[in-house]
Amino acid sequence: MSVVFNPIESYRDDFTFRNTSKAIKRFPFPFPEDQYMYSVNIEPALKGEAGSVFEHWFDIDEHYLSEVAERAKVLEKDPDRCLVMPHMECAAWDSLALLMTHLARDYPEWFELYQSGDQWVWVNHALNLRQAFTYGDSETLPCEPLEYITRQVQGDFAILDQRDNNLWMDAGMVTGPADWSIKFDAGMNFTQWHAPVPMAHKMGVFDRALKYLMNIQVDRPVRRLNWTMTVNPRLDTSSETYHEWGHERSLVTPDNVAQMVHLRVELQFLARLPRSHALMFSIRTYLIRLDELATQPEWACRLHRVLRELPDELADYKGLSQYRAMVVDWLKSYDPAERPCCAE
Amino acid sequence: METECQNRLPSQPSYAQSIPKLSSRVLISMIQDAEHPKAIELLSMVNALPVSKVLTNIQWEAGVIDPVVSDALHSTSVGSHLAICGDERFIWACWSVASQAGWLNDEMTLLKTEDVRNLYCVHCGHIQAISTQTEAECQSCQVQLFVRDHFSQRLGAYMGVCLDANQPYGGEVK
Amino acid sequence: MMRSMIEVEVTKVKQITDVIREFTLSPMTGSLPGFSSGSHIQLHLPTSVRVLKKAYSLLSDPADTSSYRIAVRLQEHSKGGSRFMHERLSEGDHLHITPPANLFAPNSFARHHLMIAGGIGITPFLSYLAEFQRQSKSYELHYAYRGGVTDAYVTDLRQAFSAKLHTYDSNLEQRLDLDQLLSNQPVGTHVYVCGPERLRLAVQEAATKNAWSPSRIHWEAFAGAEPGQAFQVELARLNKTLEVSADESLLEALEASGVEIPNLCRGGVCGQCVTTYLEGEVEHRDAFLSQADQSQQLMPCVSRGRCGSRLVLDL
Ligand code: HEM
Ligand code: FES
Repeated sequence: MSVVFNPIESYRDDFTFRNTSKAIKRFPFPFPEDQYMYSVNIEPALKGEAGSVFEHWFDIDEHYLSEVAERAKVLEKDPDRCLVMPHMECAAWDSLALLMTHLARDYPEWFELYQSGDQWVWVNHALNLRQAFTYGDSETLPCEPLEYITRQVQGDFAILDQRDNNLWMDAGMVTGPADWSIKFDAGMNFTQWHAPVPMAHKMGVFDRALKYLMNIQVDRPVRRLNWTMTVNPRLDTSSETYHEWGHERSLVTPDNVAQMVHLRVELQFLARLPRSHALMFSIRTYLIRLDELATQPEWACRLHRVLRELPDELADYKGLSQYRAMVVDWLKSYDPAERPCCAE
Repeated sequence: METECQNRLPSQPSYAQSIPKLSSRVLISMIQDAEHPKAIELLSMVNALPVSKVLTNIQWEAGVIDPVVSDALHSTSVGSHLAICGDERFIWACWSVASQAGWLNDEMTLLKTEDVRNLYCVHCGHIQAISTQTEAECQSCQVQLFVRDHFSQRLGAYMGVCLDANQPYGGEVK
Repeated sequence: MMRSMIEVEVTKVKQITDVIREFTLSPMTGSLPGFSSGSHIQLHLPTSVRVLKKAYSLLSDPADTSSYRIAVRLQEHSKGGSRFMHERLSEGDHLHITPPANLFAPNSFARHHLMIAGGIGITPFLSYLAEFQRQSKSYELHYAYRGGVTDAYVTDLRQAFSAKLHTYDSNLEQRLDLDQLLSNQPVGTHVYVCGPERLRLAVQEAATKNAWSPSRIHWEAFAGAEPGQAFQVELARLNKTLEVSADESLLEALEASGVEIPNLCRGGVCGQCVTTYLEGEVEHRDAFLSQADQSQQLMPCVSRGRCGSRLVLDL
């Protein structure tokens, strides 16, 4: 079944972003239980059901054109959100190759790739682009290869160098992060960039996760889900722009909570890049408005319980504390109290 | 003695309390202020090693790389040790030159003298010197910043992020 | 989780020296998964007794995924892998291999790459050289061998990399002075060693003597378990007792009895095969577990029960 793109929606100013009922049905609801705590929730990224967000390595959905336009806006103001250190050049080409081959295979109606030795032709029908280039020669592309390809894909990307028994964030394209900064975190290792996360270090979550990630093999990707909440459907909730969007957290009222607050889920996908031995970490963000989410009452019920029980430390870190009580209140009517929720 | 806080962030730099015993034959020392007690202690042990080079009066501000320093850092062989002694700004400016040259963290001893450090404004990218305070105004974009403990070795700076998103540029206290 | 295997055909067998043979493995259709310099694959060898699993470095150019090449040295007292490869495997045979994995990748931050190979340990460096050359990296290769016996590829290397190649033929009493070599490497050098255990130990010793940081020293570890003494092992939950002979690893013995354990490096570094034991004295030979963990866990790909003590595994 072919993806159909919505006309361009906005992730800022007038916030016209909406999910169709089809997008709501395939939303990756992240809670397997009534409580949430950090854990090493990583699993092999096996092919999921047709039409689901897990079907392909890189999910393209109805918001494709809007996300591509949003990324272009962020980069226009802040071009350094895409960054590739000199020793990551091979990994950047690896990333381009991986993305192009998977997109062309999984979405042949939108993307095509023709390879003859190092002479490649890339066709993107969605954006009406056709590019012939020499693989490995940046001069033959309009811009640096990681930037070239990730301007045409949904989701953020961090490309990690593996050395000294650690992973290093030495390249990336990050225009829609959940309150962190690639410009600040670049060059850090796994432990360093996770420094601000509460509780998880002491639980040993990061040590165990790191060992697991360093063993990821070619063609054996893994994935995990992470979540937070965002006021308004804003993709660029970066630290860089926090002074512009942070105040929106105090605009939530009991009357507008269901229209303003969104559950933000990141489908994180990690794949070994074959030639460079770097790791690709893609962060595919899905936003859903509270009242959209409540069209699936079992989700609303479970979210109610998760948020009610969430430790304060986590709620503070995720930036929910100002409006959590209002969300919990609004969701209460979906929770039949004593019975367990039946969300899967 | 510096008191290490219980809840140090894993990205926070740690500095040597004293100069470790070294097995290397070559020690290069980069010293900001040769009069400081830590520098004096460092200089006193320098003579014990077969080869040592002491670099003082280093040009290091504003991203300038002193050619003498760069030369000394490149022309030695693996197995040498580097001691950097100065305030945090000096330390990380030198660290950056050294790591560009291929030095590893475990080949360097960082000796902190004064509490002068760099603050990176995450909103505009400006870097400015501060002391131990936890709040500062960005000199470039005027956002009122909270100084986090989150530290980037590459930038040699702590992260400054808008203190109050409802009043990014400060204002009357209500 | 069993990793899915790839079926390949042996499309070429080439005698490189008296004791070293090269095998070209080609996919049944299409191309093989890409790989990075220093990668290895595991071969599953259907010997008459059991399926043996052996890890070998890929020596081909990572730019070429139309086939993989490996080289195998016949081990003198081999009852298993290398004898099978030399005597039984021929062109046209089919084999199963794992996808490539890499536990010996070059350090991307290195300013200079110093490679030290002993005999058949040259193989991973052949894939290094292809990339270093292409990316104009700074490197040198020191290659010690016995002329006419373990001097695999030396003629090709002389032709392609003469300026950066230093050879040491033990027949000609040419010796590699490691202390001298490691005493004057430029800042930013990383050293990589692959070959017999004693070569690795000698490099480590010379590096320590010259105050090298351990993170500058890299070695290929999967060369396989050094032989040990035979011992007995009990599997508590399966209620089974196995004999592990002197020339097989505990992991191999478990596999032979039908117990599948996740594994990758088969050399005590990746951590995949970690197994809990309940009783017994263990000769730990891994580079993965902390000392504290070693009181309860062992890596069966390299570690062994001490002879005479009763080893009981939580399996
Ligand atoms: C290797 C690729 C990964 C990258 C690049 C990455 C990056 C990040 C970043 C930048 C943050 C924000 C930290 C901040 O507050 O500044 C974060 C948060 C976090 N990461 Fe990762 N991460 C990776 C993998 C993982 C894995 C495998 C786990 C598995 C346990 C994990 C667990 C977490 C958790 C629990 C948080 C806190 C999120 C929250 O509560 O909203 N990360 N990560
Ligand atoms: S298989 Fe890698 S440690 Fe045992």
